[in-house]
Amino acid sequence: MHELADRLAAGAIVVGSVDRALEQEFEARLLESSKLAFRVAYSVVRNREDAEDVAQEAFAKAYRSFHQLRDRQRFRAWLVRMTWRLAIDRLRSDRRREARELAQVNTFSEVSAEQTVEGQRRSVELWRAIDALPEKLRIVTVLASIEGHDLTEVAALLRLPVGTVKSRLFLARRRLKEQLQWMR
Amino acid sequence: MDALDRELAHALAVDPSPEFVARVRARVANEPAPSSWRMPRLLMAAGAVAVVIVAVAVVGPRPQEPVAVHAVRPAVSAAPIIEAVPPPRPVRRRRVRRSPAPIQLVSIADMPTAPIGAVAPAMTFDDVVTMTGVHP
Repeated sequence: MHELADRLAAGAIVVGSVDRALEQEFEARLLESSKLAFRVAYSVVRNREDAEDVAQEAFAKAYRSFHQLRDRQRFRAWLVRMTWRLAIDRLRSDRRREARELAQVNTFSEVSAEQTVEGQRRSVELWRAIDALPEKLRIVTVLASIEGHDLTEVAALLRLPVGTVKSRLFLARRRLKEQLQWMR
Repeated sequence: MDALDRELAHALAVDPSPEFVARVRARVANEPAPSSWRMPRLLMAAGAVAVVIVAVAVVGPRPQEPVAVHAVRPAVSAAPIIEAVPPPRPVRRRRVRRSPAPIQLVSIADMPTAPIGAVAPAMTFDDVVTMTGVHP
């Protein structure tokens, strides 16, 4: 009987250590992917507070499904897609979009206080051009511009063939250059 | 990296606030334990109990079956004879067939006989049935 109790106690220890290991893994994923999620959200909602809320929501969802997302690459891919979707939903559901866009201009003004007026104008134009892109082209452009992701990494994050990512990125860049006068 | 790449990288080089990670940790701490994290725990506990039960059933003491002792009867019955103890048979429920009527056996000695020399009375079929109680 004591032996049985000992074995069950050992099992409880194993279960506890599994939980701790999962928590540690999640903490590692959080640390390495927090900027990625925030920037993906920011590229859509264009507001720091909203972007943090969206990224936080994405991490909470990831925590609930973390047993399926323990693989690093799968976690980041899932996080990117979830953050993007949540950000789009938030943008669509927000009835005060105009107020946020106004705040966005103010944010640009704060961030680029040392920049010239020309720089501010370029930033606004760039974001308008990015927003005008179809969603498929936009997310490829954003991911390729975050953390120096190359084509392979973007393809892995979006679970797309590298060739598809390459062609979409090419199209996106061409459209952006067409829209941005100062790029010509 | 051309001008467009630089502009894009610059536009997206926005970092979250320093408190962001701490806020995510707090949010996750308030989340209910993921159900799928609990499920393996329950499954592991159930599995451990099942393994213990099976181990006890397989390895544990079995009820001893009585060993049948078959004695060899000697040619000369000088030695006391040890009766063979047959192993107890499992009790089986037998299906009992009910006959329509119990058969009464009558020995020949009990049958009425006619005295020698007497003319035997003629017996009818009904007499036989009444006497033997056998209904064909």
